Order: sequence, then structure tokens, then C-alpha cells
Amino acid sequence: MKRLKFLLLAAALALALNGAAMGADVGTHVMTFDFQAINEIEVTGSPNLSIASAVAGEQPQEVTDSSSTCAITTNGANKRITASIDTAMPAHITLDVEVAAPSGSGTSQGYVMLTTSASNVVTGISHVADSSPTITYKLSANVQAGVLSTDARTVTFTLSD
Amino acid sequence: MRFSIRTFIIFLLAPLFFVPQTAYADISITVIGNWSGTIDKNDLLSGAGSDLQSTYTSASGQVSIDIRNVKGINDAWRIDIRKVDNNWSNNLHPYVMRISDGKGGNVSGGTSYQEVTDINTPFFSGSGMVKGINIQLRLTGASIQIRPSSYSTVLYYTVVDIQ
Repeated sequence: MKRLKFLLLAAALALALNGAAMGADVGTHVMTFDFQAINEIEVTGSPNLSIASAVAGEQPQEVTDSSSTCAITTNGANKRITASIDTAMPAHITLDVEVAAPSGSGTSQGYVMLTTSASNVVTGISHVADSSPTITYKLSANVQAGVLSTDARTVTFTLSD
Repeated sequence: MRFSIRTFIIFLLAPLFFVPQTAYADISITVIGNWSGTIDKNDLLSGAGSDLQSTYTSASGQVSIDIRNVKGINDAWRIDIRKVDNNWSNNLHPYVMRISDGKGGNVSGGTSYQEVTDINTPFFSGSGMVKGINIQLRLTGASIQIRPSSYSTVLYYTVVDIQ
């Protein structure tokens, strides 16, 4: 019986060794892709705002314009959009901006007064591509502003950490 | 009865010791070429507000394979393929396709894109010595959901002598 077991073991070993002896070799190559940081923002629109009316006994009526949009793409996390203007607004006149959060990501800060310093308008933006967030400008003034001629400001939006 | 079983096993074992095993062990594969790329804002489908293009395709002869040390023109073999990730994203899917027969023996199969997974899977087969089998690679699944980093995986081509 022992001899029979030995022969069966030898048979199994021989079969295994024979199978392993069937040739095999391995070659390799590498696939490498460098995904770089993408933080793109593009603004369209040239809004015009004009304060030209008031209710008797009240301050001049504020005006809004929602004709602008911004397109945003980022593959990063927890990004924010800031906004600023190139020169300060005249006394007693305020320009605010509200930027809608991109679809599914980020939080709009609502109306934010524009100054020459960058202010957060949307925060917490992560991994998003959206071409449709609306930008709304609101121009307001009080009677102390007086009558002013047409003026222009450049608004800069920045997508950053 | 015991004698007849022993005789049978000896009869079964005997031919195995005469099989020229060393001849089978010599088949070899040489894989030449790698594929690398940079994905940045220039790969956005239409600039800001759009996602990355999802699919990237290598040059036609990005990788070349040679099969050598076969026993003869009729010595059949098979190429299996799998990947081993270094730093990889589950969103990314590598594909391979054979786009030339090379020179020498016969090659068949593998002429449509096949996803490479972590499990060894038959890619194409052939017989005899063949040089210069060109492989084209494809990557799918790129998107802005993939965080910025360098992603790398190693593709293993195993040639198996199937007699």
C-alpha cells in the first residue's frame, strides 16, 4: 500500500513538473499619465447698469443685471472664486455681485460688495465643469452720490485655492 | 490486482521522463516601448466650463512585441495580458489592440480593443517566431473627477507555449 501511495505521488509530481515545463516568459511596459491641475474660469457678458429712478421720499432704486455668466472647470478640491474691481467705486455708490454656484458643487456667498480687494463669491468648489453659472450685478446709490456721468469698471474673477 | 495498478502507473510515468522539457522552457517575449502623456487644460473639450476628453489613443506602433526561441514554425503560443497598478485610478481603463502581424510566423486575434484588467486574459495567439508585432494602446475614463497626480500602471504580456 505504501508503495502504491509513493507511485501515485510520483505520478502527480511528474505531471506537475511536466506542466510547469511548458514555456512561459513575461515582458512589460509602463503606461504613465500626468494629470495636471486644471483651474479654468471664463466670464462672458458686458453688463450695463444705470440708476435713473426713485420713489419720492426714498433713496434711488437699485438696478440689477443678470446677463453675464461664468464657465468653470476644475479638477481640484475646495476651490473658490474671488472677485474684485480695478478701481474703487465713487462715494455713495455700491456695486455688488452674486455668482451662482456651479452645478453640484460649491456655495454661493450671495451678494458681495466689490472692492479693489479680492472677495469670495463662491467657495467649496470641487471637481466640476459648468458653463452656465449666472453672474448678477447690483448697482445701488444714495442721494449723496449726486449725478454722475457714465463710468466703467473691470471686474476680475479668480479661481484659486 | 496490486501488481496491475503499479504496472499501470509505471506505464503512465515512463513517457513523461522522455519528454524534452527543456525545449519548451525557452520561448521568450520582448516588449519594446512605453506610453506616457500629460493631460492638462489643453485637453478640455471646449475650454473652461467643459470636461476633459475621456479617450486618448497612442501612436500605432507605440509598443512592439517579439516572440523568440520557439521550437519551430508550428510551435503555438498565446499572449496573455494583465496590469499591475502603481498609482492608478479606478476611473481609468487601459486598452490594447494588435495592429500588425509582425514578420515571421502566424498571428491571430487581438485586432479589436481589449480592456486590460488585473486578471491575466488571453490577448492574441500565434505560432513560430515573430518579430515586430505592433500594439496600439488606448486610455479611457479621463475626466475632471480624477484628481491631479501622476498615474502609472504596468502591463504584463505573458507568452505561453501551448504546443
